[in-house]
Amino acid sequence: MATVDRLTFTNGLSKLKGAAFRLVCLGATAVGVLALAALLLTVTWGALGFDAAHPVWILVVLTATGLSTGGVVTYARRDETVKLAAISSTAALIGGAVLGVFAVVFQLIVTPSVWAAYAGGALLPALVTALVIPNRRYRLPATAAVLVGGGVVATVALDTLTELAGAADPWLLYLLTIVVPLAVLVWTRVEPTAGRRRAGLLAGGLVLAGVAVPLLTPAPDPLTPGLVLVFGLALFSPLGVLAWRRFRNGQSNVGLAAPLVIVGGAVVGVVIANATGFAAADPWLDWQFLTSPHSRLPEDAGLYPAVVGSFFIMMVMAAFAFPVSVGAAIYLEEYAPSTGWRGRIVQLIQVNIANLAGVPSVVYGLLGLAIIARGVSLGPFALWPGTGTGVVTTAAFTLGLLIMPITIISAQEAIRAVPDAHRRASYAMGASDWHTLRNVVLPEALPGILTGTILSLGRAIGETAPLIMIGAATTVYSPPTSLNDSVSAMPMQIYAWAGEFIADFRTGVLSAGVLTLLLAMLAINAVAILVRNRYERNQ
Amino acid sequence: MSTPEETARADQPADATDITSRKAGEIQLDTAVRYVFAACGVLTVLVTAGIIYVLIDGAQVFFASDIVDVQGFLTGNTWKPTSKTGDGTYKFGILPLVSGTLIIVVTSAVIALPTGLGAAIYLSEYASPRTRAIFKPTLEILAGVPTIVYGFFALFFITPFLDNFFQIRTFNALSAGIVVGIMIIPMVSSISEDAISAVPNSLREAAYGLGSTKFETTTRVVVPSALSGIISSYVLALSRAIGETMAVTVAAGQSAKMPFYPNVEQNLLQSIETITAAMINVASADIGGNTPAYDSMFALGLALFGMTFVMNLVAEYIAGRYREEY
Amino acid sequence: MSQDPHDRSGLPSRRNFLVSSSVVAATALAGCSGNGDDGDAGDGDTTSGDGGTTSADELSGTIRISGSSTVYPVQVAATEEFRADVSDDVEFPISRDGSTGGFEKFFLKGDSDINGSSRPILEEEVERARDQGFEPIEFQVAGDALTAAVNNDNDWAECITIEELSRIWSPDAENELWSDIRSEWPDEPFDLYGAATTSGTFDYWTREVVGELRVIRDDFEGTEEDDLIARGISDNQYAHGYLPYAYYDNNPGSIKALEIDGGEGCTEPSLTAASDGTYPLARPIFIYVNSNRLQEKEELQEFLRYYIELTGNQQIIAEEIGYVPMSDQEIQDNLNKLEETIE
Repeated sequence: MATVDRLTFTNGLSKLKGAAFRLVCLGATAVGVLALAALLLTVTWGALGFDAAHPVWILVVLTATGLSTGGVVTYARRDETVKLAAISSTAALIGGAVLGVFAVVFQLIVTPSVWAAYAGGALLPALVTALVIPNRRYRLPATAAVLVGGGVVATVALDTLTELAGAADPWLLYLLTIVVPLAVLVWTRVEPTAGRRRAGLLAGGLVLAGVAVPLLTPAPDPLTPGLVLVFGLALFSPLGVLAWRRFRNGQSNVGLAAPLVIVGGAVVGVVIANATGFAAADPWLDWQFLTSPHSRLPEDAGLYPAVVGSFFIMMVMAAFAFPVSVGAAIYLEEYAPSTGWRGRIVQLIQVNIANLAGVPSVVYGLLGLAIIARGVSLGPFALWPGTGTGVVTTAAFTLGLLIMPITIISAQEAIRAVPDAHRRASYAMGASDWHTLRNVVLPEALPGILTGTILSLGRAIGETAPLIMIGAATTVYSPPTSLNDSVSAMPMQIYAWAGEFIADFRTGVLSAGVLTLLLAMLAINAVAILVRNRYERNQ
Repeated sequence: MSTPEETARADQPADATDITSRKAGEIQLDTAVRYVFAACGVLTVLVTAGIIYVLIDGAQVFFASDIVDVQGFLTGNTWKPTSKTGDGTYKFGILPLVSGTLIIVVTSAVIALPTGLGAAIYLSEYASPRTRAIFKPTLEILAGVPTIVYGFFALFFITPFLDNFFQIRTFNALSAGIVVGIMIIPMVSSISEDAISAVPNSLREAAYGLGSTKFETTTRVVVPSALSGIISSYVLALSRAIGETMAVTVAAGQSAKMPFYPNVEQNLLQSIETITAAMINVASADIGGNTPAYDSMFALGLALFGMTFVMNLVAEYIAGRYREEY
Repeated sequence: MSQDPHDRSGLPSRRNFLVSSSVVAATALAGCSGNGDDGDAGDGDTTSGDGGTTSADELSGTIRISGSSTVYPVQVAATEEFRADVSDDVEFPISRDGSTGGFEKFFLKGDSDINGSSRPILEEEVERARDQGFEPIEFQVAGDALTAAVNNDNDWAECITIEELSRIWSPDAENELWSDIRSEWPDEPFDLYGAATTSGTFDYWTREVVGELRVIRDDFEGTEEDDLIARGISDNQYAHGYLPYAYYDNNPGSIKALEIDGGEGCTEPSLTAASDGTYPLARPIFIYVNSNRLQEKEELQEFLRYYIELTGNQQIIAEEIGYVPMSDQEIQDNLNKLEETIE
């Protein structure tokens, strides 16, 4: 009896211990999550100006938003396809928004007329070639030939073409070079399955929407109708593709409306709350904030040039760091010898990369300042001319070097995850190293590589210390349009707001800036998670 | 859903026949491609070389001036690069900055090491796949939040909160240390989780077979087996804490001081200056000047690089040992 | 926050005011360039003739501005209004680096066109500029009343002499407690906050209060952000610090300003006291312009003409920013100096 008693006692005690331990571990996990929640909540509260609002107003808005979200969640729970649709449409909109910002920044940099010159001279002819040539075997080479040929022609005749294009409104250029071709593309894809009527409706609707853009948007400076058109297309195209795929697979598209319903709920909440007559929130993060430069008056201040600057830096940085990182990863995983003195060197490179990943960002700032900005010369030979302090190129190269080790490591992991059997199968069919790589390894590793790269973009967008080191400006009024322009980035402008005399800058405007930065980071991370999830599901 | 992939796979056989027919001409391409990729790998070595060159070059100018020598720099207990002390000189002693950095590292370690390990154990041993799918990315987001945001979070949220309990300065090491700790939780948790997940299931099953409870299995078998991985995650996370810049610049203050003794609690409640914050301070003062203050930035960078370099090597070494075990 | 809607509804009228004031400025400007022609014969005409037509619409280019965070609000106001009124094709990258930081980092290397400074340029800095082949041209753009502040709960100190401040801030002083300064004050240690050692405000304070440039005690909290000085002061009953009047003016109630006795009785910091010279810690704030750039860049000339006119704008300089605006005479002098340099 006694032994049994003791056994149950120790059993009970160890059970208790186990349960307590489990709880402690859960608590540890929750600490991180709660910290994130507190961070987001304080920032959102300040950025949306909730402290100006009456509690009743806040309660009404939150209730309405909660109701619509709860409704969507309960409805989606019952049906797996609806749930999937709701999640994917939200993701598609987030991805579309990120794409949209990049597209707008790209258009700001290349300017509509240059874009139109290349689109009209090379892209469109290539598209037509691809659509017209029926034979699969000749389609690719012919398209490539037209693309390259058209590109050369457009470059040679660039001045004439841009002058020609410059006469038209940018919006019209985008309509002709993007919307109309897109409508044709939609027609050719949709018509065989859905019939002429539907395809015509879709294509026509698309063109009509494009035409209507300048009529519908008040087009506040600096977002011209053309840019609104570009953003809108990028924002909705992932959703459009999603809807089309689901339609073709015979799935219901009801769930796609989920984000709309949630946002609609919030809007209805705001309308009702305003009708109650209680003090409404006075959001700092609004359209004006996103489209204005800094001002001495908090209510006029905005983040526009810094947002464009940040994304411009990201694009140049990715264009440089991505190929180099992937190249290094491929070499280390696929080609590098592992034995002998060469193997030891490779091992050293590997250790070196791991070390670089841990070098503080402020040290990269010193590197950027002393070498990238000011240049290196070996005696009379200028090895690197120096790009100057505070310009786009310097910022992009500095941040590019900063993210390179992280990108290499994640690309290596992705490449390593490709099963060796696939490589052997390719070699067995007589493929060379390069072809195995191009046709087998890279396609399979690409999603993993992309995830890593996108995540490192998310890291780079918030980096401040290196930018301070290389002398980036805190304030600029118009966004940079060339590589040699002085650039400000979101964290630089935010850092400057923290030191303003007027209190509203340090509370409202600062919160709005931080929230914008966080949303950009979260959206980029969401895209990365999206890519990864898709990839994992397909495995 | 997966149409592009399907089409890609459908295309492959056609391409493969292409490959065999062109194979002979491909060997040179193969070699060329190999060299291009190798060059990319070598670039990373150049980056390290560049960093070391820049730091040493700048530091050597700094030490060549007769204001301070290496020994004075490493053992001096006053850091005043831009304001004169009583005797009318500028002072460049790194010890107060090292003290500030260590205070931040210790505070953040107290927060992040147990929390990160607990989270790693929970995620790998207890959490359902569903919970894991939610918690893991959320924790990873924590690592992605820009560090300057953490700085404002500490200054405008954590410090006022702590002010309810302690007599705390506006700039203080405690709240900066807390946010740095929060920032490195995901680093500890994700690397530790990898290490814990890598423990073979046979070990767990053997422990259960001997009558161990889940608690005993986890704490006496799984965690000890993954110990080297966990320690390596600790070292990496602390190395990150050493190099953390904006959060401590914004929240911990800009006043370099030697540690308080015997009033040790003052070390947390008072403002400090870390090595990184001192670099930012000098950078926003004299980025292009030919003054000792400007050059001191490189000496600080060198010290910082040395510290993180050693820690990263240690982490690499420990992690390498654990990889060999299974 | 509750005043915000009011502020915003007031905005259009403020804009209107600015537009009308800029019209005045433009007329004044036209008149002034006429003056220049009268005074200095054809020289000025020939140079501007070489530069091509001077139509405000055609102005474009980039004007790089660096320097003090104290001058930063004025720089932002001037550039912002110039872009609104004259030409938004002129781009102004502005950085806040501290006066010394701006000189060292950009201006003395020829990397910036204008550097804001909250202290007069040093002889040594002028020489380094000359080595680079240009002359730094000084224009005062506003005045400030550097404010010595204490916590709101500080009920013992109302007025303090410069000598007492010096005893608080000197490095060699043995003073740690308030009672060391005046025996009736509490036996509590000070908690000191001030401008970062890279800023012009720091230079001014050390020179005027401590008595020797860049000499100060070790244990004060130095930061580039005035807000953080104010937060530091408001967090501790025994704190004391100094910051620009503009900050105090924009954040009334958060801290308490001390009256200063420079030997002629106690004076409260205010814009009037600063402009009539009764406040002992009144200081001018400046911009320095690269003379070569000024002669080369037409947009810089136009901008400075506009800028100097704007420094007299009561609404912007005094009410919005909280500095002492320039008088008509000072503006006229500055304009003359500008035109002389351009020739």
